[in-house]
Amino acid sequence: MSRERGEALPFRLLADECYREARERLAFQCGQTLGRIHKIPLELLPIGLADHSGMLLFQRAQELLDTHENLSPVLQLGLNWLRDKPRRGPQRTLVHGDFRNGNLLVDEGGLVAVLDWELAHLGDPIQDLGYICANVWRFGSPKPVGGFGDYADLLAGYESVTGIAPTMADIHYWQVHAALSWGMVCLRMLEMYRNGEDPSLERAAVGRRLSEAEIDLLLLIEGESD
Amino acid sequence: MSGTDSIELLTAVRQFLREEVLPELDGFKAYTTRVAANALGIVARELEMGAGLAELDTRIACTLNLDERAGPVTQQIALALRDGSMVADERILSYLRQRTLHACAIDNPKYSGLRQARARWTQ
Repeated sequence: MSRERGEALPFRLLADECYREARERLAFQCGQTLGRIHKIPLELLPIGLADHSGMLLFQRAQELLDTHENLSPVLQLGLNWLRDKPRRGPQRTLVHGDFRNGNLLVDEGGLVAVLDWELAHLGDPIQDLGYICANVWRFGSPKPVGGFGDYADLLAGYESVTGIAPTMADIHYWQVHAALSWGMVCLRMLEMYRNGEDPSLERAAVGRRLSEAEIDLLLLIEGESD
Repeated sequence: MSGTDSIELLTAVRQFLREEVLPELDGFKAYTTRVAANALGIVARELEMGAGLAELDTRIACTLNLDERAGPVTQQIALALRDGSMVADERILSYLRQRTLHACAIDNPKYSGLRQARARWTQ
């Protein structure tokens, strides 16, 4: 464990002049860093990491939608789409699970550290690459990778470390998953507000952002990545 | 009803929070006050536009022969998609698109995905 310096606030990273050079490097650096995370040998990982690989991912998501009274047909549609879509042979690695603008510590030279490992689990590594390209984590910017970069740089950085070149179809698949995940986070926030676990205005407000996730899901499952 | 209506009251409180309270605050309280003002905006828009959601639900219930008394139409469709008794054909997709457009226009009219979705799904 070490203390690192840097900025993690998305709007500052996307707007401040002092991060201009960092923004240009960041997508490639994110690809490299994800490559390094995914190459950590499984036997070095702490015991007890949640396993979301293969069908477990869909089972967990279905359980969560059932817990919340199946109130969103769009989230169900997204889950069905993910479950029924054929995928390449399964890989199983450490997945950060929340690798996005907001959880990246950045200075003028680019990426310094990766924060917030609470959602780390075992699963398909490409999940992390799709996640950082989710619309909700672009904060309104047109740039697809975290609001700061382009797909090609992210993928090139990843390939430079792993030798693996994910396709845009792979990214698209996991963007759909990221939109579903955001919807499920909204449901979870709503639950925390309602059951008194955290009855704050913030939780109540995020619980109301479900329709953003639904818009993204519907856009994604009818087309390719933008 | 007489006097100031609900939307006017919400608008007035919202403006008070934004213009009178917010400039006095910083940090987390300023952020939360912005969230509070936004939340009032959602309620005001729902009062104005919420009936549109109910209309869309009633229309699709009619088309699909669903009984609205059996529970929310959205939940009935979600459960039918879940157990495979319904497939997402063009009628259902079109309903889901229009409903989500309408809901997001209430919840967050500035959302970037909403602009894109409007361009694709409305003529």
